[in-house]
Amino acid sequence: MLSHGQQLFRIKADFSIKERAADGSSKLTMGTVYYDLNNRVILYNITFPEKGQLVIADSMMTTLTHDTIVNQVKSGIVPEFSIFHLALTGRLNNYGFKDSFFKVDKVEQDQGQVITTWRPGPQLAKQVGKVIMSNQNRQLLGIAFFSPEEELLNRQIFKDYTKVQGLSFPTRIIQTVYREDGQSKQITTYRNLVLNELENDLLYNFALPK
Amino acid sequence: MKKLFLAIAVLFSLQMTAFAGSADLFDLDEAALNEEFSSLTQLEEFVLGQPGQLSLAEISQYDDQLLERLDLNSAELQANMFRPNFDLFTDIEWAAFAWGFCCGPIGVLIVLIGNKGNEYIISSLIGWGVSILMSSAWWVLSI
Repeated sequence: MLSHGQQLFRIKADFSIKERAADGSSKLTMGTVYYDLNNRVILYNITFPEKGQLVIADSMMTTLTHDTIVNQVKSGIVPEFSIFHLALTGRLNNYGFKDSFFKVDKVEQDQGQVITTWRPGPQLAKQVGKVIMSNQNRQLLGIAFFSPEEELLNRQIFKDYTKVQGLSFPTRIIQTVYREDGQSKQITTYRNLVLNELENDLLYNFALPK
Repeated sequence: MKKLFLAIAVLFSLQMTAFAGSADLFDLDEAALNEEFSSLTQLEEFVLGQPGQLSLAEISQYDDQLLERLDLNSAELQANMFRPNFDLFTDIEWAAFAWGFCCGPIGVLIVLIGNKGNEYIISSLIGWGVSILMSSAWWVLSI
């Protein structure tokens, strides 16, 4: 149990990612994820379908097998906007939008949810659309991203919150990506959450091979 | 007056629709979702139920009929994040290819500045390479 006022800085969880693509194909990825707030590197230590590692750092996504880099691409995921960083810094309920270039456009209440519409500043309004966020019982329930033309692009729903050492964390995230060729869906499940683990330093401070 | 009432009624109904739509956006049909993911969930439970951390290959040795019973394609499951960097047939971006093909290094530079991702850069480089090959072939044939 964390003592009162102790800072959260590390999170570890077992994960499963189930995916159904628009073409009907299926994927299952399982393993353990590690994140250290100070290092800002997300390490997915993958055990299924094959052993390997996926590292997200500095806007790059790197995949490794047997400690060798097999793929490196630019990533749309920034560790600072990951669920791990936002949860550890206590900003998951607004998904970090409070400190972003988005401004609150509208707040309304509906069916027990607080619905907040965020809009980008005028300098980015042509590139980025609105974001609709739903909160229930002070927890993030869902977030939906739209194109500048108001088309729904991506929707995430955060379910089954668990409380570990005072931290509220969703253990099931359902994401739907809307594309011209159809919808792809992804369910991410987290289990066995561990906070502030003092072991496995090499995994929390993972360094890519040179 | 009738028009005024109609306008108020339309405005009110539009507002109600907008409100309903916002919360409905996050409604989830759990039954349909469970049905859609049932095979993957069974596989997930199977993997979780095994001692240690088994890979797909190890599970196939353990129970070679499992994926068939679950109606899952082993190749699809395997073709996850460890696929090659670039698949010529699925990843090529033809607009970027055209920049490289028509404008050579300038086209590649334009694609690089556009910063749309590795697929675009590789496609423009392929375009440039194809234009060099075609120019060389033309030069050889013209001798």
